[in-house]
Amino acid sequence: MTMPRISKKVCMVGPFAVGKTSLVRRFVESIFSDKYHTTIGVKISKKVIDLDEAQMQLMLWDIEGVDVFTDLRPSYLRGAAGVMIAVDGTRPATFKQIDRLIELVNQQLPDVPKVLLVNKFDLKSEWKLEEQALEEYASRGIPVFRTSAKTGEAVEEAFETLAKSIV
Amino acid sequence: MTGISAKEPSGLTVDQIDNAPDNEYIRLRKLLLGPEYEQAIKDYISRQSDAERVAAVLSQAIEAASSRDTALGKALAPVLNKAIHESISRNPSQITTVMSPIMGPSIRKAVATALSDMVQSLNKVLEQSLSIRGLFWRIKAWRAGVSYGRYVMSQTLRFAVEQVLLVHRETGLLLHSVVSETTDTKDPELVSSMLTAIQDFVADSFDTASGADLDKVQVGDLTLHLISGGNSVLAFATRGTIGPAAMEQIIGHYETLQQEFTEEIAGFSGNRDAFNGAEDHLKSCLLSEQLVPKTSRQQRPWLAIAVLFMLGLALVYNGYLGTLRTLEYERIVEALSSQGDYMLISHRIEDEHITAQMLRSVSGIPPEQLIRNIEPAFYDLQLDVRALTFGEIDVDKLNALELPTPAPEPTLLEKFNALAGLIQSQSLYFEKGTANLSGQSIETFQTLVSKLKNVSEIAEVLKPGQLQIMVQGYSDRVGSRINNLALSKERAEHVRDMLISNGLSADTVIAWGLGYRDLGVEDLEWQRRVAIQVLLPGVSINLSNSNASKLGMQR
Repeated sequence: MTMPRISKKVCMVGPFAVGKTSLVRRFVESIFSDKYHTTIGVKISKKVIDLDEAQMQLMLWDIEGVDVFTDLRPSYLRGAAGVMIAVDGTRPATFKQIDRLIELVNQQLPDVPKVLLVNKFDLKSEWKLEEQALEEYASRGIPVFRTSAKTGEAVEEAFETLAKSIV
Repeated sequence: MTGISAKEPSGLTVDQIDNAPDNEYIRLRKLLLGPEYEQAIKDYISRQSDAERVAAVLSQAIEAASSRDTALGKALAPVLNKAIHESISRNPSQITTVMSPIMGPSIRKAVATALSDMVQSLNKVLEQSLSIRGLFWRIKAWRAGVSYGRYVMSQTLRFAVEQVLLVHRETGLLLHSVVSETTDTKDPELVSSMLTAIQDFVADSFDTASGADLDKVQVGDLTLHLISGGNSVLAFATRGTIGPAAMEQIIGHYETLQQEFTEEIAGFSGNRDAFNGAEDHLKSCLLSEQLVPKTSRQQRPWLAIAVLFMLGLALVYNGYLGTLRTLEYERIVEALSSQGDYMLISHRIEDEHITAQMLRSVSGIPPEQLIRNIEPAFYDLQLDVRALTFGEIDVDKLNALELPTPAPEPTLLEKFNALAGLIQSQSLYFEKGTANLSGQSIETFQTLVSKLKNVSEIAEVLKPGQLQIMVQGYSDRVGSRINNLALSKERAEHVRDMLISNGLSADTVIAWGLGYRDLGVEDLEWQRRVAIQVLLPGVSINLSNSNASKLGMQR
């Protein structure tokens, strides 16, 4: 008997150049490229993952990075069942945007599960991160993952955690 | 029935009537009829159960409710669905038994329709493919980098709906999609999400009226139409220009679909199975309209038809002439072969000329007369006649030919006679159906060559320049006369060529084929042979073995 399959929309948001597209690509295609291409608008990918009693087809909306010129378009978040917020472990400036992003997301999607991805763990020696700050997010119900799109570390785990919390 | 709550036609129970304070009519009836009436009413009501009373009026009630509005149908639909589902689950064979008489003809009809469509489609494709226009389209399709079928469709259709997607408006997730058979599509789920993103982008980026959505995207000859309705969007891709009637049809299908799936769309949580039933509605949206073909008489390829007709006639006439020629050729060969005073050595045919090599006896009619007798109609008959001076040509009698013998020098003549006798007593045999010497005959041939050389030397002394070595080819009785004649000639000529290449003079060797001759020997291997005769005018050849013994020779 085939497992039932449900489709869910998941959005990946975060400041520009933190590796959102690389994380999605690592998760969907299991590949990584050093070349940087900025995302304009949104890039959509899909991947099916097996959960305990069902399959979940994630439609991954990789939304363009936010900066001082480009803010997050709320309409892209509409209908999402889960949100991933990605920041760069080597750029403290990106940490400062976490709260603002969470607030923006909560305005549109107050109850959806969220995970925080602190990317570029392969450059851990260059990280300028206060671990205590991360623990605070975890205590607020936002799981934190130290990921590396380059090595693939914790990427699958982060997506699966979000998928399970969606169910 | 306990606790019965009997009701009067007025709708009140008896007790209520009794206690009604201001119902004078009822009070009057009570005074006039007394307690017997009440008892009678109670008895009447208790005789009928509720079920019976409902059953008595149920059909009329359903009829009345159905004629009034559709509420009853809507109310009963889920109950009936569950009942049918339950019934099929419990006893699937029952529904099979009931449905098979209906489904059988339907399936046959569907298959027949599909086959008919396929034949028509094939016919159309063949027409297009084999025409100049088809070739032109093929080149265009190749240059445009699209498939031929797709290009043909673009040229023959006014419009065609290639793909229809039903999209959940809020999430952008695909609810269901269908695609036409001739279309190559990308992942409809990604298309669905991307369309929603584009809609969101447009709505965010431009000052659109509240609730207004993107309704059309055009790329080349492809147009993507988007119809928003409630919490879903119907997106369909078309090529060509879709008319208002077709657009109305699609909108109608979409509205019906929305009515049927209102709850499913509103409560969509990611499970698309609920929308499998939307397949038929979406397929109904895959409309297409063909360009009206030009049917004027000028379009008919009369010239091509005429050319084909003439070609056909020419082929038939050519076949007829060919048959006549073949019959004529066989008649001529037969006539030449059956001339008593002539012997057909060989013949060949080139275009309209037949050339025959023949040996003619001195008493034979002139060749010109022979040609006139045969009366060739289609061929120019040429005879290459060589007159023989040593009597009648009769192969059967040739071996026993006795000619007057002048007195030769005894020693040479004896040698010649003996050698000639040995040569004539030996035949060369061939493999079946070929001009290849059999294994043993190759050795025989070598001994014959040396004997023939000796004979030639002796003949030069006895009668210089008058020796004739006659190589006669035969075939077995299997096969047609003409084929056998040709094969026997081929065998004779092969041996002649071998003799010449082994040093014998080409002027002395004559070869011809005699086909099959019934000499009373049934052995087929024996019949496939070449016999060699040595002729020297004025010399009678004795075939007895005593001649060989004179020379100490063995076969």
